Amino acid sequence: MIGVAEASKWVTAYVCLAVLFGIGVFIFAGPQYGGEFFAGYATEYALSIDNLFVFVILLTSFAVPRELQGRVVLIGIMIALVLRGALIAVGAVLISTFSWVFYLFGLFLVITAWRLAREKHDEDDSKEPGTVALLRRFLPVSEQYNGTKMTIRIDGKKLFTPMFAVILALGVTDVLFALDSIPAIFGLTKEPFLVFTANASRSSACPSCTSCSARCCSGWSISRRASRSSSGSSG
Amino acid sequence: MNVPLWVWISVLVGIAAIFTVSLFSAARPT
Repeated sequence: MIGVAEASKWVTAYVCLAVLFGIGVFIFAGPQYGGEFFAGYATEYALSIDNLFVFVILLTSFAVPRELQGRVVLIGIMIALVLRGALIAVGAVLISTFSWVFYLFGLFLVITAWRLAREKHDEDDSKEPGTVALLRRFLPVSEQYNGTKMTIRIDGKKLFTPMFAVILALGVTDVLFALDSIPAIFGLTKEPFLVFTANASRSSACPSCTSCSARCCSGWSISRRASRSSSGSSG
Repeated sequence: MNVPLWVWISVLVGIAAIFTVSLFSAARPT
């Protein structure tokens, strides 16, 4: 995984690229669509901040070796972007066919906000994310990594490596976050092209942002969780 | 907003290029 300085440079480059793209939309498609892209991009970026911390928790839960972390996050985000694209396509078709679906999206956002407001914040941070617990329950995952390979054969039995499990967990978690961010962005624009490009712009910067967060959190409570996970439940 | 197919394809190719570059960058030994 890259350092904070290099990650910051990558994030800056991706933000500049997104701004240039937005300016292009502004010039070629008009100020309305340009504004909608920037509003959507800002919303996606703001909503992705909490993803980053969940990604760091996932990396520490699976005790991912530092040299594999960058690749793991990147592949997870790539899978998530494909799934997000599918969600956007479904959302766009639903909205264009049944206009009342738009109100359903709104209701879903209100319910999400209500649940977040009522959520009790437990001081104990030792609990694993739900996706991790679910994966451990249903996937035969080995204790050890096998380089960058997704499977390993132990005593003739083929097992998935933690590398595979963490990539899957990252992808699934990112899509779960998309369930509220995509309806939110459809509230700003009904153009699937703008919704997708705002998502892609945000996703491209995500691995570098995760690197930054992981490095910044390394001396914080996340490291306590990592030490607990690696000594207890990793694999 | 009527987005031509070539714009969609260009955007998808651009995203694929960005992720490929990032993947090689992430795979590089540190």
